[in-house]
Amino acid sequence: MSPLDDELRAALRGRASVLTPAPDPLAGIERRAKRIRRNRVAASVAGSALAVAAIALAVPALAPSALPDQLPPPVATPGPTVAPSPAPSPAQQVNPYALDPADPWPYRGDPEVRTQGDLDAYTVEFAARRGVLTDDVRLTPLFGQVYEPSVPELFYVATVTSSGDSWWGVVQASESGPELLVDVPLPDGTTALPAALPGDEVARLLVVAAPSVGRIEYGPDDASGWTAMTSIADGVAITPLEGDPAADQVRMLGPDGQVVFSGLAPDADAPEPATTGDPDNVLGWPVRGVADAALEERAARGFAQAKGVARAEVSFSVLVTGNNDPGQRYTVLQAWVTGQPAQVFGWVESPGRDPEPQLRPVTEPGTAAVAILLTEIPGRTTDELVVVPRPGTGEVLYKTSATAQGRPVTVDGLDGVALVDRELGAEGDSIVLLDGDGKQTFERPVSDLLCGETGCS
Amino acid sequence: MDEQAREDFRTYVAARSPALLRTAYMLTGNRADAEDLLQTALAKTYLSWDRIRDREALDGYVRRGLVNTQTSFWRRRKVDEYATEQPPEQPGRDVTADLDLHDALWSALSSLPKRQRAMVVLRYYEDLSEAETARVMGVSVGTVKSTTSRALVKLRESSLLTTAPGDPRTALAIDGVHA
Repeated sequence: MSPLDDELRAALRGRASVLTPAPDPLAGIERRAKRIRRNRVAASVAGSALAVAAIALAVPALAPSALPDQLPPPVATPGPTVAPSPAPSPAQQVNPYALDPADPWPYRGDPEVRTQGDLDAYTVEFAARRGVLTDDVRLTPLFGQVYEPSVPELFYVATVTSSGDSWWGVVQASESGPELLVDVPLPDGTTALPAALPGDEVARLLVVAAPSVGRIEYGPDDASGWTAMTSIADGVAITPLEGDPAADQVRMLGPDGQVVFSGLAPDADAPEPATTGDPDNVLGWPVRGVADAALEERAARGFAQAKGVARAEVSFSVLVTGNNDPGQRYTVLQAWVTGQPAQVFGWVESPGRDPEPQLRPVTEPGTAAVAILLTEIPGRTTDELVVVPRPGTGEVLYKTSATAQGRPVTVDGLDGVALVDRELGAEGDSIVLLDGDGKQTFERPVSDLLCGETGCS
Repeated sequence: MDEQAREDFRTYVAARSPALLRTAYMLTGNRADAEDLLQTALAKTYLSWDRIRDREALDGYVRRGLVNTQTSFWRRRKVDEYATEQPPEQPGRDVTADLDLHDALWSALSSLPKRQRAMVVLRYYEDLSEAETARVMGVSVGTVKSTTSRALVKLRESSLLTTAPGDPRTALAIDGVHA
């Protein structure tokens, strides 16, 4: 806590303490609510006055023949009907409206929004989120525009080339740098990128699709039927979001009026899905060691395999990446499946052996140190314990037993990471952390630090 | 909204308006805008009232509405909409010629971009954790850290906090950044 922290709190609270609310504000609130509701119904789609903030979902293509069972239109309208579809041949299974990240839709919108400098900045932000190098990212702009007065926003599709996994999202240039407002995995066959974008009072729905799509329509829950969204470019349309977000729907028609996509509209008021944010228990420690994006990506795939999920459902942050003289390469991640808490995950690659995953339990709040063990090291008679302490730790000590004196094991140049030559089958040893003044702040048996996902050996 | 729900909403507003108004005031810097902002956030809550199952989470919902609305780049002033019995403050009233330390901080706060200000308010007024702030702002914890850090640096560098040696404001300005 610094003097500024304290004074800031005192200043804010001092200001707030003298404020008294107006009596019975309900009437004003209800007037405002009516106005918002009226605007939702009557708003002409002045999209240029709206900007983005954040919830979205990627919707895979829905075969026309599946529509009647999966998602009937919300109300009966004289609009287009779902055409019967013969059994598709392999050639017909290629959906002409699907977004192929290897051959994405052409860019539409304001060319000023996709300057190379901006794209570079967005790529850096995206790479940082994925924990990969920018050279490993191919980010393609799909649609961009500038909102009043000068906020550029851009729909993109991005692929991590080393893994082949793709995401789509919306990024906005803000005063504090690029903000990935939407950043979600791209399922195969995705035909529509619908983003719910909170506005001043009326949230808006912006849909980006293939340029060859015909009309894009919005179906609110108030039984008013399908209404055409306002087209602002080929395959791009916006509309105010109205009614119950849980029931709002969007659909797209082909040039012949046939429904080529239908799905729920994203909810601007919903809590942010975990896919666009980190779990609460991500440690937020700095990355230590020497980055190796390919190794870290393989580790992420290993984590996905260990958890039995697709790679695209896994996010991670790197705690440390390194190697030793015998040629072992390792990384320690915090990794998580979308919507789940983070776990520490070690990944060790040794010459001539299969990679070794080391999955730890869900990371606890206040974690002081994490560790992995390198075993069967060529030419050595000991294992190597890699200890990653929380930032700000002073010295790391290793004790071979409860009564032994701790010996310093912190390695210069590794930002506080400690390496321990540990006897094979050692028991009763422990790790001690000291603060900058040499005061002990933590001691834990090594066996505890090496607990697996379901328990300690 | 039926009568019972309306009564529930009225009860909530009566109980929580003072605290929420203070948060809105922290975000906007003046009472008029704070009243307007809170009214908008509560009106949105009113429209969603029947869908909000977890009433324990209402403050979080409204707080998120406050922040999102305030930080919306395209937010427009609607001076005809807020209802208050007190006249709005005049622009510039908060920046006085004779600043004490807290006045200086308050004035420096007004110089921050809206998002930075919102994060400072959530962290230092609402005392939210970085994770909680991230949820309200809809950003990552890393963004909260970096943005808050930048905000504190900007506050320290504010000319309002860098005066003559011996002045307590100068002591704050030269203290290290703790973000």
